[in-house]
Amino acid sequence: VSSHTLTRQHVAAGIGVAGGFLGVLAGLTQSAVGTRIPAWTGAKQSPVLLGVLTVVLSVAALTAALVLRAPHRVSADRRAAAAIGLLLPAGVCFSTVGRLWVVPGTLLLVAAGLTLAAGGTAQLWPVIAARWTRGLLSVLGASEILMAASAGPTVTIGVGFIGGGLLLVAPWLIAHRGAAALLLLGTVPFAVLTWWSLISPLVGLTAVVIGCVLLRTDRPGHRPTWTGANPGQAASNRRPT
Amino acid sequence: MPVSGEADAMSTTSATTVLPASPGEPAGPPARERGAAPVSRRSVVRGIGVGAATVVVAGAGALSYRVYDNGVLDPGAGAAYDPWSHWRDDPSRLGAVGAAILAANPHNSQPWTFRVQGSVVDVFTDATRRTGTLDPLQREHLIGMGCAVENLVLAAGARGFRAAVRLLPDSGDPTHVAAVALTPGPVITSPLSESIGARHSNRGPYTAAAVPAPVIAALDAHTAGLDGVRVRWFAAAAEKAALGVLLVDAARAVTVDTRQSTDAFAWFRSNRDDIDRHRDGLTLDGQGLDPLTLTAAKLLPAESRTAGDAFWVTQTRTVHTRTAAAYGVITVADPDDPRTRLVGGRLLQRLHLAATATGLGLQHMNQGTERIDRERTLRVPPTFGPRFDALLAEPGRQPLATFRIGYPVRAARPSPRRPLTAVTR
Repeated sequence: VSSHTLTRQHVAAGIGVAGGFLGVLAGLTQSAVGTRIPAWTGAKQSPVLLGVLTVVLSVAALTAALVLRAPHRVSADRRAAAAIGLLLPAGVCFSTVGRLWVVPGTLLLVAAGLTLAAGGTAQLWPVIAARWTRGLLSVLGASEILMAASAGPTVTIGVGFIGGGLLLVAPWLIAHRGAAALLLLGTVPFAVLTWWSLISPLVGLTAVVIGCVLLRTDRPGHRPTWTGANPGQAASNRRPT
Repeated sequence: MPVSGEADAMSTTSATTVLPASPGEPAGPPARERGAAPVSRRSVVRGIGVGAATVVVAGAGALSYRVYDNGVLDPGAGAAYDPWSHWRDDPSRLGAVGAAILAANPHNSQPWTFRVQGSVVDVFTDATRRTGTLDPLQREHLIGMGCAVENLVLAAGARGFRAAVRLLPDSGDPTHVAAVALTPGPVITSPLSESIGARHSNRGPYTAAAVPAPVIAALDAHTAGLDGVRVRWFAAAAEKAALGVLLVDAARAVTVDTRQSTDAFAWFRSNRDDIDRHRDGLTLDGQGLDPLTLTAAKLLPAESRTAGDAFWVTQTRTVHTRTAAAYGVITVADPDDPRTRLVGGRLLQRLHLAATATGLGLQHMNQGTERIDRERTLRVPPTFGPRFDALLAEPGRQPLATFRIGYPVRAARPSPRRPLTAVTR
């Protein structure tokens, strides 16, 4: 069983590397000649920017795939992270480079499926549950980046990309000083710049509310709960006092 | 989340109170004795909280995609709008054609093609881009062609070309509407030529400020050199109100006429993909809506034809006619004459450019004449023709095109345009 599991993991890695590599090529193609082959690239409004976004996400998928090339079975934490790292770019980039994403996207989806299957899913649920709220915050960061990709002018794009990036990483640095600042910088400027869009203020408000809950529950000294910390530690903390 | 049952049962805090079996649950031993883990109230509350947060985040994510997909954060930008930014780039005759394609035209159908041969630019109509029963006699079609010719002439002058226009040069080819010979000459720029890239139909509200008589007189002066066309202005409150009622009635009649309504709806591009694909037609961005309403319209599912019709009639009644500072009607002796239509189009474009140059908003409102032509082709007793003639009170003259002017509350947004490569032979 262990041998089969490792094999699946390595097959997932191989397919993921191929998908990530082709994804990088698709992104570069969109940036370079996207306007000349609109039937293939989806006739996008901002082909250069979307090409760059595709390259960035493909590199993330490539990194996730490389993690799986380890000579031993990776831990459940890493496996979950790798699966998400493959799944997210696979889904998002179907809307960034048109038909060019069919092959890399399919490969990444298959790789993500094999990653989940390598070792069973039972171990993954506690890992995912423990990080669910943080993941939600990161999804909001990704949403902000997505909105910024079709925004204008350049200042708004920049603020959106930086803010979204900060929001992506903020929940994973929640125990550090300055996490609150990251949260505010990641949400307020973009929401203010694009207040009339209704959605960016909604994303910002939701992120601040979730971030405040995380800050309250996951700071050092606070009893961790299943929403943020190690589930085993959380369980032990539920003993009566 | 399941937690240690023994520990929770011993707890004295309300947060870890074991919940009783639900009312619908069959009677039996306590849950713990049946082997099921008890659930604490705190866990339930947390579960609900996380579930709600997940739903909100999923919804926000989906709406973010709509924001991205419909270009909510950068309206009027992208490849479909590039011609508005690059019309000055090319100093050649072809560059002047790049300005011609920015002209006003019916429902942004852009019914033109151009051929640059030597020093002559030939202008042709594109019969495949007609608007059907909305314009059954091709009145607006030819007016739009006249608008394009005027932009071509102005842009050529700004590039150092003297333009000699021959309308309908080929009696055997009715699609060949103009041959414009461009020979080297002095560079002539004017507020009109400078306004080509800033001219957009402004369908939003106008302020209560009246348009001063000298401004209207200056606009009127642009009829100079154009034979057979003049402007009947409606600036007084009573006659403005009367024309407003006619326009609202005409808008309602267009929406009630299923064929006309359907033909109009065919030129509406309700999402970004359609705009990028077709690069023509009317868009939400061009409706003059306030930012919040525009955003909501883009985020919600596309409206049906009938909902769009209802919206248009309401806008005509509550915004277009209610806030018009004045109306202008281009009048002619024979609105069926193709040459007159082309000349009328040239005047209409001049007026729009001049209005833009003076900070005025202008919206084309041709539902009245659309109904006149529709009634003629249906051979039904005319209703709008006699009403319009009575309002004009100019015996021997008939309306060719109608517009409203005023000082706009907000700037108009550009309409999508097909690139030069798509309209040159």
